[in-house]
Amino acid sequence: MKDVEQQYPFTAIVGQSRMKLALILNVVNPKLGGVLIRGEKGTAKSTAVRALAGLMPDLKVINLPVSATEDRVVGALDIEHAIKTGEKKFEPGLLAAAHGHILYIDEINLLDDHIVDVLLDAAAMGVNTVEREGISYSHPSRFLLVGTMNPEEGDLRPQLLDRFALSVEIGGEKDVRERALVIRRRMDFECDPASFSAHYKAEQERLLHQILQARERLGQIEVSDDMLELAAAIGIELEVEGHRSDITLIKTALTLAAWRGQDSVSHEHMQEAAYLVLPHRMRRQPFEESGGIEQRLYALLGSKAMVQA
Amino acid sequence: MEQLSEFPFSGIVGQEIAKRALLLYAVNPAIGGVLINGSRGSGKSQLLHAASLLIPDRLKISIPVNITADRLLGSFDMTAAIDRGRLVRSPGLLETADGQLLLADHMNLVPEALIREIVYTCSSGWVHLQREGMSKIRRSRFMLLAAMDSGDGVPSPSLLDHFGFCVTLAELADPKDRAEIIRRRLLFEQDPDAFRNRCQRQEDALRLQIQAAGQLIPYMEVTAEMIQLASSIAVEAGIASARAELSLVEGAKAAAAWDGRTKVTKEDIRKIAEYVLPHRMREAVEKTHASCGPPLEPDAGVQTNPLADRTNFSHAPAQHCDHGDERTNPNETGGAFNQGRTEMPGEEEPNDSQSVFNDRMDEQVLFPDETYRIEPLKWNMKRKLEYEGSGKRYESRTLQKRGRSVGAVYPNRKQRTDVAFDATIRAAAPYQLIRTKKDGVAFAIELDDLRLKKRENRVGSTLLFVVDASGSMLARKRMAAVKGGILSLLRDSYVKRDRIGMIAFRREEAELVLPVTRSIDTASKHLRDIPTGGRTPLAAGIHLAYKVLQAEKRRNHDTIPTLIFVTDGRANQSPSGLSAHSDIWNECLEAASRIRLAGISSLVIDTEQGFVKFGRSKELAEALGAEYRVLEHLNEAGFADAVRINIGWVR
Repeated sequence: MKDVEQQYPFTAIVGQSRMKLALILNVVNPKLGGVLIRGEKGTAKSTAVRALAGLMPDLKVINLPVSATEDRVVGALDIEHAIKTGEKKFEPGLLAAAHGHILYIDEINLLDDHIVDVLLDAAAMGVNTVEREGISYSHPSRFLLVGTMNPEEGDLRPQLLDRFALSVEIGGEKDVRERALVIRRRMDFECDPASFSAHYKAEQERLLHQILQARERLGQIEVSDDMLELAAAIGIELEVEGHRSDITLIKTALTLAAWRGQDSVSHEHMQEAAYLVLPHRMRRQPFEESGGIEQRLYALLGSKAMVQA
Repeated sequence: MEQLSEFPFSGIVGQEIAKRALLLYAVNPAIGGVLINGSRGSGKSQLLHAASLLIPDRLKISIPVNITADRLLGSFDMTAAIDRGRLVRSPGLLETADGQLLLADHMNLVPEALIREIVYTCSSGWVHLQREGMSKIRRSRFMLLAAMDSGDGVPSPSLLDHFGFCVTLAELADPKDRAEIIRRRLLFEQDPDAFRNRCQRQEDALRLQIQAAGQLIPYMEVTAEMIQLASSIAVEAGIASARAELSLVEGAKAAAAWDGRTKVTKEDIRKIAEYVLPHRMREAVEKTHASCGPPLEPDAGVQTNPLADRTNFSHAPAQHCDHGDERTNPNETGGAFNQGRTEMPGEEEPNDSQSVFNDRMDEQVLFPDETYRIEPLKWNMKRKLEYEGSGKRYESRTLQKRGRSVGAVYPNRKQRTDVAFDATIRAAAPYQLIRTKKDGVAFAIELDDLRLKKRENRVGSTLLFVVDASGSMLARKRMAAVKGGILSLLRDSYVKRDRIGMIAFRREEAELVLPVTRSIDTASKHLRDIPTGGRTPLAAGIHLAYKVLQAEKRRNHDTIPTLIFVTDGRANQSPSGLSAHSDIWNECLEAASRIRLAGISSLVIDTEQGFVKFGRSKELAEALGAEYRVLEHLNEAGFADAVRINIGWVR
């Protein structure tokens, strides 16, 4: 694993503000439930995820490669130990390693079906129960699930999609000057990572401080009945299945309020949260022009804003 | 950190019908297992775990998705093998669950062979072991609480029949209720202990009532008339299985006991019918559909969408339960099922017309219920042989390192990796006394002991339909037949592990309208709304098909991808902006030959009709190296058969 010093600083990432926000919100509130980042190759998806871990002391990124086998994911019998000592010992898998950390799956849409099933099972209750090949074991497994995917290579099962609290759609930077800035920073970093990181040290510390402050504030944020009902109304009106999205919407709004240094959840927080929580949960309409989801959300939240006011 | 599995039962908002089912089961385990069906995030896991907290004196044993046959059914104990070099039998979960409570949270993600063992044991009370040289029959009576998301696929009707009760969770439509759910969840997460304390009194009351009602069960009076009523309800619902009647009577006993009565009434039996019938009626509905139309609909003249009956198995019974019931309030008997999950407001089926006009006047949405016929196709021996090796249309056993490990096999000469150590150790155990052990090793393994993992991968087929959704498909509603055909293939895809996707091309572009899936729910939602009309960008369809299948192959190496083109070949729109017809056509042929060169097998179903035929689809088939069939009069079953036969499935 790379040294922390070698990590590209989170604060040095140009643009991609929604992705960065989504990641930060999950660090502020670890109970939120992960991020799915959708976008083309080379849009700083994995850089951002790794950089996030570099920002937080004690936060690791556990990589679940698409080629991982089930025994490595859930854990298996430690054969060497068994043969040497005659004792049965559980060798923990990636789900154990990821407990309290980030479980990162690049190209999650290419994951084998049965690995997806196992992930769903563990993510549902925060416990990994293993009953396989002579092993019977169970351990807590709560992790920040971060997945990346290129939607052109196929979609995720809706059941797995729903496990992600937030999703962000990212594209390449369009602005020429911004793009040039991306290249410049990358080159500077590769040329001398240590001094590059040193340059961002103060900013990194400031961000960390902000995160820790927001964490403290999170418990005190108030949410009115109006906001709870707004969340429910949004879910009903957009025909989002289940209650997970309602709950996640409120939790995200709460976290946003804490992150922005406010005391209670406002309509603006709900609106901002909705763009992170709902797009991947809404039923896709065939032949829908891109932006349709945004429009529906906008129309809905716009009208709700009127009602609130 | 809070454990969601400790959320109290009485803290759950709504879902009264499901809650009652679980409580009645707690009162009378003779009902047989309870299955909760619900879409993602509907709270099924929470409900199961919460109910398990109320059931007294039983350990909760979870069945994870990763479970293997040795842990479920029992095997030889590895520790004893290594430690003492002896073979000692170690019981599986089905045996240790005797007298306890089994919890299968994502039941339909467990391999179907293992689900079968679980539900058979639950309903028979016996574990039958015939494996690894063990031959045993053991008593095991446990309670089974299972949950599934039917969007992930539905187990076969015969497996469902083993569940006493099945409840499909209703979506709560009242914003106040939904807000209350969020509120309680936040409270619980903030301070789980305080939350549980607040529910404590209600929880205790429920436990007491369960206990008190349970004590009445042995004294329950069930008259012959009641048993006859139970039978006649099952018979009328077209259910052959006697399990339905038994669950009906046992459930009615629990219902009476819950109210403190010792005599089962008609009312009890009728109320319980909604728990007992829906999952068993699915099969009945399918059978009757195949033969003589929908006899279960009270208004035979109204042709509702057959999909609704077949894909949402909880949908049909409600109307039926009302039959012969003096209380005619449908909400009371069928409430749980009528607030159905898939029936959204505004998505109502058209009753008298099969098509609905879109905003755009040249487009229509054709619902998949049109009848056309295709001549049965002959077996294609070449293709059949080609696929026989791996394409069993069911999980194929692979020697590659991917897939779920399902057991152990002897190694062959070439392959010595992917060792199944547990099986290897068990194989070596009997020889430990006579073998000399190396230093630092407690156990001696020789090459002959070596066993490899037997893996199972969901191979099946990946069928990608590339469908012409241009204006010409509107003619004689061919699109409806195609949609119906695709759905009929999907209907049994859970068992067969087939994956089906669909690309539609029309107007300017091609779109993946049904991402490759084996979910009936997803498919029907997507398929129904595909509009038809506009120009024919065939080349765009071919390009996209290539791209999607390549991605599919990357994701699932063992998949057998097949492309099925349904078109009249009258391409008149180019993705790259060509205008001359010959150029557009050449572009299509080029794209097609790319698919042939990639070794992707395909089938072209020609939909060209009318007096003047261009024969373009035949040309396309040649460029693709594809099988070619002419669509004459196609109905959905005919269409499905055509595809099945052509890709060499054995029905």
